[in-house]
This record gives sequence, structure tokens and C-alpha cells, in this order.
Amino acid sequence: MSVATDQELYEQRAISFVDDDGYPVTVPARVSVEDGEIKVRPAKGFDPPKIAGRRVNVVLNHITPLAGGGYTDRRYIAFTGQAAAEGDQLVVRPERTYRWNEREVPFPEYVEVSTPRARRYLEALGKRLGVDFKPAIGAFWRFFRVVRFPFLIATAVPVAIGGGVALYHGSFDLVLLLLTFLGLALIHMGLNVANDYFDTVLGADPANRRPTPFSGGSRSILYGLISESGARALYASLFGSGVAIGLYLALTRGLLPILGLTALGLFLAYFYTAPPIKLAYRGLGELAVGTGFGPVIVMGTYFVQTQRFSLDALVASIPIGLLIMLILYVNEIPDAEFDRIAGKRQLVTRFSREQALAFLAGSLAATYSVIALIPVLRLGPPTVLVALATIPLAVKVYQGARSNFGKQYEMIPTMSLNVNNAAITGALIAAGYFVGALLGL
Amino acid sequence: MSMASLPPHVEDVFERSLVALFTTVNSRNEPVTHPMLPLYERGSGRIYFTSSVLFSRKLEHIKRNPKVSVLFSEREFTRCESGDAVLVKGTARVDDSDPSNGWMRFLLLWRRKEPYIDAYLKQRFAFPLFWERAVIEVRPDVVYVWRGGDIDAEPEVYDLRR
Repeated sequence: MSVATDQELYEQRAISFVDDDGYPVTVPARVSVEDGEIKVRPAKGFDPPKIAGRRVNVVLNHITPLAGGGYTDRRYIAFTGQAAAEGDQLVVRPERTYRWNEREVPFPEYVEVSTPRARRYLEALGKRLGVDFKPAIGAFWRFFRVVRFPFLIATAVPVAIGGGVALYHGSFDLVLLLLTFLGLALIHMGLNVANDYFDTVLGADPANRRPTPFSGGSRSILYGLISESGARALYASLFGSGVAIGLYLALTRGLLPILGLTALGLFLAYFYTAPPIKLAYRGLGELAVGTGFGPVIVMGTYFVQTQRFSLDALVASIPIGLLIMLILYVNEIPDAEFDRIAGKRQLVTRFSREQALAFLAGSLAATYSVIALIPVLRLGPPTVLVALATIPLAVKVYQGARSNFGKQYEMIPTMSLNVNNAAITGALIAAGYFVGALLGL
Repeated sequence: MSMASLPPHVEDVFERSLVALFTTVNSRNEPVTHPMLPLYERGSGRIYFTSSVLFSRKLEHIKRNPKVSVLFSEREFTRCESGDAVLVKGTARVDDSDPSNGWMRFLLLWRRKEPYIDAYLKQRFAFPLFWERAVIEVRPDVVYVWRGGDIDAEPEVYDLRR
């Protein structure tokens, strides 16, 4: 067994053993590592003959105290083995080690790999005390986390674009717009819960040791915030409620088109991860998301407002479809290593690094090209061009992905920037239509 | 000798230390040591730790064998001018009857050592299982003190079982 040679990185050094009274004893010690052996001079009072022949732990520990209180930069390593006396010191040949260095294994990953142990402990404790233990977070935050509430921005923006195009074409009803958003938001939340449920039971989320706020799912089932059966019931009721609103809109605004779009949206939402289709596992998740959050939502919203379809709305849906597809795509970059393990063959897992970055660059270029073409082809007002103002953000997204590709935690700012870019660009497209309509452009 | 009669410099170490090496005994009768944040209120006679259920192995060890030890050493970590190194052999008890809230009675002591802890606690939804915690109470039985951290000198010994 190799022994760490970076011993100078640890100030606190000690040796532990179990004494004749049955107490574990941890004694400060001088410790040096030489030629795969650990040499230990324990503190006076616990001289080597008292320890020799026993199982010991040699422990090296470090923290960096902070000036304002507290500490950071935690690391420790413990070597387990048999101690032998050698002159006035002990020699330990380590048989096992356990360690943690938060520079190597960041705290969130350390938490993640320990999650199954915590669940087992709470389950056993619950059985012993007759209580169903769940992590104590309030109902609002539990719901917030389970349905991944912040991601509803991905529904709100295309709904706003559909409403903007409708207003530009002379039709707008705020109540219908809000009802459309509510129905779609319910289906989107159902998608998120179903995605968590199937990614949990199919093994993709448990395999992911480095989730981030943007990737690796909500972890709600893994953390015990909701049971598997609870998740099934929740996504079924969310889908059901969303479909009920879709049915109402179909009956009042146009039966077949709205039913058709609702059915297509529901199909894409459920089978995004659900067997047997599992679109996301077959490299079709990006297409499903781009279609669902682009044409399906924008065209559906537009139809509810105007009771007709339009080429303008279809073209307006392309940039936002691409941008929301890219939210998923960029968020897959940190997951790729673990998705491969779970057999989740998303686009990023199928691409090489360069192919993946080229796809990102191409998609961003296509997004802004379509935005630029909208007024050129007279499919929308020139005010839509304001959305081109986010090109510098898009460039930063690309640069961030290039610099941090494959580095889970380092990707977080890029993923955040990418979400912001999609939201801001989409909101500017919508604003372009609204302002264009108000100015009569 | 009662805990209250321990020299103030020893209680200083308990009260001020940022980290202690906490050792339990596993089912193979081997010592298992982890660094932990010790919590102590002067005169209380007990050293406390809170342990997330994420890192619950030590809790299982204590339930099987309550004998533990706690080592405070290194002047930078004990934050005491004296530099004393202190070893406590003690008997531990786990209170995990209310893992969601039971440990919160130690928040004031915790805050003194990690002033930023409230900011993390506000984000409880981000690491929900980290905040499900058991309380470990250690009753010191024997205390060894190496004055000034001089481990070449004989330790002072305080046997609190008498």
C-alpha cells in the first residue's frame, strides 16, 4: 500500500489505539512517513511498549482557520494497521486508509456519496421510533425543490413569445394567456417530477455523484423529500391538471389543434425519460425539448389567442426552442460522465469534446441567425433585433463551456449564464413583438 | 474531581477549539478517528458534537460501544495561547430522537466557532440530509493535559471517575 508523502500538509498528528480499559485513545504524536512505513513517536505517558502489538490509526489532519472565525480547506487521512515497537518509536505498515480532502472531493460530492448511508440510518431510526423521518424543510421549499420551480422560466418565456406574436397580429387576451401558462406550467412540473422519478429508478441520478443546481436532477427522491410512489402520484396529478386546462382551452378555442398540441406536449414530457421510449436515453431528448418548448408552446399559445396557426409564430419559436434545448444540452455536460455509466446516451455523451462544443456553437449561431432573419423576411417587427444584444452572453457561454468542459463544479457559472442567456434572449424576443405591436411596426 | 474543578486552561481548550479528533471503536475493536467540531459550554461538564446522518458510522459505533476519546491539539486549532494538548477519554451518548431539530439547541455554541453557519442553514433545502443530525454527548472520564503542547513531558492526569 502506498503511503501519502504530502505529510507536511497536515499539522495535527496523532495515533489512536484501544487501551486495556477498552477506551479508544488518541495521542498527539510525531509522525513521519518513510519508505512506505509510518514512524510514530507518541506523546509521553503513552510510550511505544504500551501501544506495540495493537491495531492503530495514524491520523493526519489539517484545517485552515479563517480570520473572521471558522475554517476552510479541510483534509485528513487515517492509516490503519498494526503497530510494532522499533527502539523508542512505533512502526506502522498501513493496511487501509480512509481520507477526505475537500480540494479533491468537494463537499457536495462528499455529501452525495454519503446519501445512501443517511437514508438507511433515518429509515432504521424511523422504524425504531415509529416515526417516518423526512428531511425537515418546509412544504414550500419541498415543493419548490421537487418540481424544480425556477425552471418554469423555460415555459414562461415561450408563452410570452406566443402571446407577443399574437398581439403583433392583432389578437391578445391576458386571461387566456395566463390560463395557457398555468396549463403548460403544470405539464412542465409534471415533466420535471417524471424525469426525476424515471432517472432515479433507471439509475442515472443515483450514479451521478456530482450534481449541481442545474444538473443531476432535483435529487428529491434520493434525499427522501418524496417517495417513489409520491412522485408517481404527483406527476400524474400535475399532468392531469395540465391536460384538464388543455381540454378546456380545446373546447373553447379550437378542439383538434389544441388537443393535438396538448397530446404532443404530454407525449414529449412523459416519454422524455419514461420507458419504453426514453427519448433522453436515445439521443432524442434535445429534439424533444427543443420541439416542446419551442414550436409546441409558442404555436399552442399563439393558437389559443388567434385560433389559427401562422408561419410567423413558427419562425419565432425556433430561437427559443434552440435556446431551451441548449439549457438541457449545456446542463448535460457535467452529467455526461455519469450518464454514460447509466446508459443514458444523450447527445453530449455521444459526441467528442470538440463535436459537443461545435454543436453548441452551431446552435447558438443558428439561434441568432433566425432572430436576425425575422425582420429581414418580414415575419416580425425589427424590434425583435433587440434580442441580438445577448450575443456577448452567448459567446461567454461558449467560452465557459470550452474552458470547463468535463469539470462539474466549475461548469456551474456557465450553466447559470446559459439559463440567463436563454431567459433574457427569449424575453427580448417577446418584448420585440410586444413593442413592435404597440408601435405599429 | 468534578468537571468544574478542571483548570480553566483546560476548559479554555474545550471552549475555543475549532477541531478535535474524535475516536470511536468499531465492531472489530479498532479505533476509528474523524476530525469534528467540538462544542462546549464552560462549567457544563460535557463536550458535545453534532453529527450529520450522512456520516453516521460513528453513531453506530457509539451505540455498540460508548467509550470514546477526544483529542485537542495544535495551538492554531485550539486557538489557545497556552498551546496545551488535551486528551479526553470519555463515555458518549447519542441523542438522535429528533434529528431535524434536536441539535439546534447547540446552534449558539456552533455559531461562536463557525459564524457563517446561519447562512448555510438558510439554504437547508440545498443539503437537506446534512441538516439531519444526531447529538453526541461526551462525559469526560479521564483527562490528560500536555502543558504547552510539550508531548515530551509527562501529562497531567485528571481522573474524573473517582
